[in-house]
Amino acid sequence: MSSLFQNENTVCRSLEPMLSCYIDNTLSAREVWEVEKHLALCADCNALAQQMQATVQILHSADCYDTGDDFMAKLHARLDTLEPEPARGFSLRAAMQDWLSGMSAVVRTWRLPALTVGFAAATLLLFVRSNTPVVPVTPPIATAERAVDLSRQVAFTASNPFDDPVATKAEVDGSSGPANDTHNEANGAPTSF
Amino acid sequence: MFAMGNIMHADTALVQRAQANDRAAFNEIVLRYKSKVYNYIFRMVHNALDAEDLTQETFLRAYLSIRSFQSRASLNTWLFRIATNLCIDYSRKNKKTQAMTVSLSMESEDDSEEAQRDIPDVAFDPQRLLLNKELGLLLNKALSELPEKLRTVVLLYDIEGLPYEEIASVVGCPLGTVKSRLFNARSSLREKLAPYLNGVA
Repeated sequence: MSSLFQNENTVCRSLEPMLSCYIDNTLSAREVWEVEKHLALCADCNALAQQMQATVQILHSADCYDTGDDFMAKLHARLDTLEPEPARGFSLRAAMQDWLSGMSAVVRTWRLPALTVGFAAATLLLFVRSNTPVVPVTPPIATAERAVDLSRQVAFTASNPFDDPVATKAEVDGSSGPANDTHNEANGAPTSF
Repeated sequence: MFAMGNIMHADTALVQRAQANDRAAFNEIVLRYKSKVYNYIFRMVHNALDAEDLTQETFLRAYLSIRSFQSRASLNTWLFRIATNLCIDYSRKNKKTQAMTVSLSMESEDDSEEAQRDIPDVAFDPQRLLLNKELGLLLNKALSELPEKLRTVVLLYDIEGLPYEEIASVVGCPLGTVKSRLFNARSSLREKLAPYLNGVA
């Protein structure tokens, strides 16, 4: 940009960019004072400021162009094709339909990622299980013992030995062993002697 | 300032009605701003037909997104931002042909010199000078030759009358950048209009 002044005056160069704001009256009071003090002393900057002011006046006086007469008709024709949906009152059915359509959109959007993640998780699970050593599962001892105790308790508390399958079994076995005798005495049942 | 406040208040009311699908309110907005927007776009793209299409596109986009408009920015700024973005897209698409479409600068250098001789050496009077067709053409040519960034700022400030802050919002740059671009644009125009300014100062 060729300046009107070629004297490399640093004051001129520092104030030159401020001339635009000076013309627009957007400088602070102190800046205005500095600029005007310099313009009073520097003929080159003064000439530059006046020419820039004249340029701005030409711009302000420039012709204004306007649209054609059919602008509004054309615009309305295009707006008619873009007419947004009219505002609706609240309706439970419409709200449900909106919700369902929104959910279906979400499902459509996330179906593929969800399937992918699910497949990856299943593959990972199979991989982990295939690398885990197989330990034989044995029933806990406590459970078997508890079952035997329960059967004994049922036999002991039964008033009718015929109703008790354990006692019946002992009676059928007869004098098969001292354990059975002990069992019968404990129940108060008559002995077969 | 009071008048500007009234305009903004009226704009806010119009926008609220337009956001409620009041077509008449949007129509009022278009009537209020179409000339300013068209004038700006025309000086940006230098082609009447394209300028009208882009102006229509500006208001179509405004219509479609009026519900997302928030009153933090003025309607004026918002519309000019849409228009500026459209002009940038336009210039990108037409970069190759843009250099040749200088319909505003049909005058040759010889004609400009002729015009310079025709200007009487009288006291400077811009209004009178603008009556001269050649000055208007020269101004249009000088504007069209400005870099797009400088042209945007000088058009928005000196012709459309937007304040610095709103231009910074439209262009998306700091306030200081707006001021420096305005100074550079005016300096460039001053050089190109020098034949008419020699009598000044």
